[in-house]
Order: sequence, then structure tokens, then C-alpha cells
Amino acid sequence: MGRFILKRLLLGIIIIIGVVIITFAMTRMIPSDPAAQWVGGRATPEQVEKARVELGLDKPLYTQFFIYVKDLVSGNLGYSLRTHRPIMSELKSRVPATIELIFFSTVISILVGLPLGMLSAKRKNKTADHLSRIFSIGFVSVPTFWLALILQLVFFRILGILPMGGQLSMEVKLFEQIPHITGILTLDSLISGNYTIFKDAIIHLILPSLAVAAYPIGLITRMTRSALLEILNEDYIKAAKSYGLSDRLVYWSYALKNSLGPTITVVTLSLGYTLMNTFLVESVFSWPGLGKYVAGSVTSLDYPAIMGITIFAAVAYILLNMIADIIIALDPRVRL
Amino acid sequence: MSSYISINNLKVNYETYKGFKNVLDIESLQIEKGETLGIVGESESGKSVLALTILRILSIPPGIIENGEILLEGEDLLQKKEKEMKSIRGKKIAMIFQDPMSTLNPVIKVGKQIKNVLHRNQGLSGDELDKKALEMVEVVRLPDAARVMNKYPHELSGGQRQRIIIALALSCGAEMLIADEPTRNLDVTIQSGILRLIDELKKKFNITVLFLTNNLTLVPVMSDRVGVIYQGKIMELGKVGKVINDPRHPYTRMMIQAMPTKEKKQINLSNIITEDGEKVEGGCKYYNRCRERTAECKTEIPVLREIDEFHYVSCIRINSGGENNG
Repeated sequence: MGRFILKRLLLGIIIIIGVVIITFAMTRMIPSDPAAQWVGGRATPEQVEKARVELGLDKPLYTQFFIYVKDLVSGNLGYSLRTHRPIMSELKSRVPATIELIFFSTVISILVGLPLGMLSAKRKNKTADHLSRIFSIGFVSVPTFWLALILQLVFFRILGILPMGGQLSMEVKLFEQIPHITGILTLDSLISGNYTIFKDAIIHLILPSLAVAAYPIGLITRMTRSALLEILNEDYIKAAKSYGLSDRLVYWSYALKNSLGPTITVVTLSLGYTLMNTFLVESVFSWPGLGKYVAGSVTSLDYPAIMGITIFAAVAYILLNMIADIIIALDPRVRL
Repeated sequence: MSSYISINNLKVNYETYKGFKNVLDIESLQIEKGETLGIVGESESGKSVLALTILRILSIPPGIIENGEILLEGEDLLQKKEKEMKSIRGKKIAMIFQDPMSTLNPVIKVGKQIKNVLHRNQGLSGDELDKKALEMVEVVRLPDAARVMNKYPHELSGGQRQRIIIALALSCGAEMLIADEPTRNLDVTIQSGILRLIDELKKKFNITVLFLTNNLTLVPVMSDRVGVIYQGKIMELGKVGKVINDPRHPYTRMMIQAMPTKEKKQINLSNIITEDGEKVEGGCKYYNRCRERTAECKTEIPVLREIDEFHYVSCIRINSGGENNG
């Protein structure tokens, strides 16, 4: 197990080096002048030249690359061309909100998708199965931003039971001391014991999490159903039944344990898609995560920011896949 | 005296792309308490379907039980609700499955699997459960039982797994055991060990056994009575000595001729006839391979008739006197 993790980490580093090279090359190929962007629209040519030297853009490309990598290793992602602030601190202030959203939506998608898939398999070709299949196909095929708007319309505008967007209500923001420990609001409020903030944060999380969760819910439902159906046809399930074991034991322990492998793989694979969906949903719900920042950076060709985000996404993806492999290795037949 | 199990007019079909295919057609079959009935037949002759149908764990679809009854001490299993079947499976009838590689759950330790069965069927728990589980592994002669209990199925050999499967079936504490080709995937030395084990345990626990096999040579060792099944139909049924020494049905005779004996060490495989191209609907199911067929065999469906004391044959050319008509 230890060797496996070490091997995967080393492999991950190689992948990240590749990602860095490719993104670096691509951002330099884009026809734009970062120095001019840095100083703004009304700068004189002399000021632009001065900025070019300050930013090190007058040096040969390979020197620039080595400087970038050197800074990267020490945790410096450079400065945003737009805001002139360090990319690292910009990411630090936004990533936790995105992680929070992804975490909650993943929890929701597992809590809904897994039982739905099991129900579907158990009642194969009956009404419950047909309904769950319609729902799962619907969830997978509905565009996320559209679903986000519909959720707002129904729960905020028509029913008026959930907030339209943001991370906290105005009253809470004004009257409560907002804790900053990890940056993840629900976690911080729990740690500091402020349940008013916790409750408010959860209420604000519901709609965006649902919007992000829709796609993985559909995926997990379908995957669990087909994996479970396959397992239920196995000899050892027939044997378990022939020993008179209860349905509960046969389904929850004998069958489900064996069918989780494909489901876990699908969950992690869909997380990449979820990350992109999150960016869309964040802009609909004005969620203070990476979404808006990404959109802004891309449209203004803020290349250090784009590179920082790409590297963050790559690291997250590699770590998540490693975690998935470790979970799958709980199957005694898999030896790492 | 009524039999322990009595199967009457049981018809099981399989739904295929080409329509329904009859896989089991048993007019009458009785199993007495305490006896061992061997059913011998080639692959796809319906042995496993019979076992799965008795326990009602046949996959439906594609399987369809068309009609018939399976009486267990007078009660029809086919009429029971799924819930009622739960108190029959394991408690009354347990089964030893044929494939040791796929019958054990791959992600649960074998000890835990045995404990689950013991807990469910004998209501044991705690230390008592641990002790009994260990005892079951010892009963099937697995050395180092305590260590084996902590293993996953893939860490055991085929023979070890088959012993665990027998331990599982015995752990049910059932009155009857269905052994579906329990030695199919094992080599001959392990085979004899497993069979001797089943035979011993049968006597020790006084269990009724339905022994399904494709190996006619195993039948005399294991059974009191034997039934020969071909394409879902029983061709000949009787005491082992009778059927082996005085086979009446052409199919049984062909199989016995192919058996090695003390005098005849050489096996003559040319006696085994495979199906010729002629397709026959209705009539005798064995028509295609029968050497002694006549025109009537093509149209007349034979029924299982008693030709001698406790000796039944399903062939229109054999009359009740036991003599061949033709």
C-alpha cells in the first residue's frame, strides 16, 4: 500500500510537470502582450517596456520557464495581470468555497444515486425501476446552468423557501463574527460552534449543490443498477439465497460490496466534469468560489491565473483518482 | 407411505430468441427420506434446473415453470410465497453448488460466510457461533481450520473451496442436501476425497441427498437409486444395482457400455452416438441418437412405466414384461 501511494505520487509529479510545460507553452502562444495588460490601457510605450523588464518577459522563453518552475516549487504562482495580487492568495480565498460545493454535491449524489440504483436493480423492469431510469437519464441530460435557473425559479421565486444565491444572508454577514480557519464556511462555523452561521450556510448550499449533483446522481444510479444486476446473477448470490440468508444481508452485504467498484470509479471520473459544472453553477448562484475568477481570467487573458487554475485542477484530479484507487483496493482481491 | 419429496408433472421452459424451449419435463419422481438419489445426465440435461427449481432460485425469466408440483412432505413448494421459501431454503433443503470458483462470495472471508449461515439457520451468536463455525470447517477435514477461516476465497485452492462450500451447506443443518456436480471442477484424487466426505457426512447427520452428476461411474459409489435424465426427461429410474447391471433404455445401455469395468479396461467411445441431423418435433426426445428407433418413436411420446419392481423406463419399445417389443 505504501509503495503504491509513493509510486502514484511520483507519477502524479511527472503528470504535473507535463501539465506545467503544456500550459506554459500554450499561454505564451496566445497573441497578447502581458506587459501591456499589466500596465493598463493608457500607458506609454516606455512604461510598457519597463513592465516587460520587471516581469522578466524580455528574457528568453526557456529562462522564463525556469523562473516560473522555481517560483512554483516555492509556492509562488506569480501575479495576476488583472488584479496585481499573488495568484496563490487569490486561489486560497476562492478554492475552499468550490471544494465545499463539490463535497456537498458529491455527498448528495452518492446518498441519492446509490439507493436509487439499488432500488432500480431490485425492482428490475417494474414501475420503480422505470421511474428511476427516467430520472437518471433526465439528470444526466439536463444542462446544468438551465437546471440551476429552474431551481432558483421554483425554490426562490415561486416557493420562496430557499435563498437565490450567495454563501450567507445579509443579516448573518452583518451581525455574526465569521470565523476563518480552513476557509470552508460550514466546517469553520461548526468548529467555532456558531450554529447560526452553520444553518445559514447550509441553507445557501442546498440549491447550488443540487444543481451540481444532478449529473453524478444520474451517472451513479445507472452504474449502480447495472453493476448490481450483474452481481445478482452471480452464483454466490444464488448460493447465499439457497442458504436461506435474509434479503437484507444478501443485498447490502453480499451483492452491494461486490458492485461498488464500478460506482466508485464513475464517481471519481465524473468529478472532473463536476468541477467544470461547478464553475457554471457558481456564476448562476454568485457563489464566491473559483467559477467567476476562472471566467474573468480567461476573458482577460490573465495567463498566470489560467496556469495556476490549471495546475490546481490537475493536482486535484490526480489526488482524487489516487483516493479512488485506494478505496477500490479495500476489495481483498486487489493487491496494491 | 408418502415420500419426502414428490415431483409430479413438472415442466420448466426457457425463453429463448427462437421461442420456448422445454428444459425439464418430469412426470413423476419421488425421493424417500434418508435415501440418496443419483440423477445422471450429460451437460444441459436439466440437472441444475431441477435443483434450482426445487429451491425456487431459478432465474425467472428466462426460466418459466409451466406447471406441476413439488411436494415437500405433502406441501407444494411451487405454491409457496417467497417469504415462506426462506424458511425452507437452508432449514429444510440446502445445496452444494457445482463451481467452487464462483460459489463463494469473493469479498467476504470464508469464516464470516459460514458464520452468517450458522447465525441465520441455527440462531447462534457470540462464542458459541465462533466455536460452531470452527467445528464446521473441521468437519469437512480442512487442516488448520482457524487459519482457513480468516482467508478470502481467492486464497484457497479449488479443493479447499469445495470443502468450504460443503461446510456452508452443512451449516444450514438441513434435512436434505442437493449436491449439484460437487466434484465437477476438481481433479480425480480430490474428487474421491470430496465424495467420501459427502458420503460420511450423509450417514453421520442422516441426510437425504439428491446427487446430480454427469459421471455415471460415481453413481454406484454414492447412491441408493439412480435416475437417468436426457434433455429434461427421466429415461430410466431404479435401484442402482438394477440399472447398472440390467439397463433397459437404449441411452442407459449406451452409457454403461462406455463405462470402464474390471474386465473391460478399454473404453469403447465409438459406442457413443451423437445427434444426427434429423429434427423431430414431438415423439421421443432421444430419437435423434437412438440406434433402436422405429417409425413410431417419431410420433409417440413415451411415458415412464414400471417394467420391473421399482424399475422404470421411458421407452415405447419396452413393455411391462421387461422384454423388448422389437
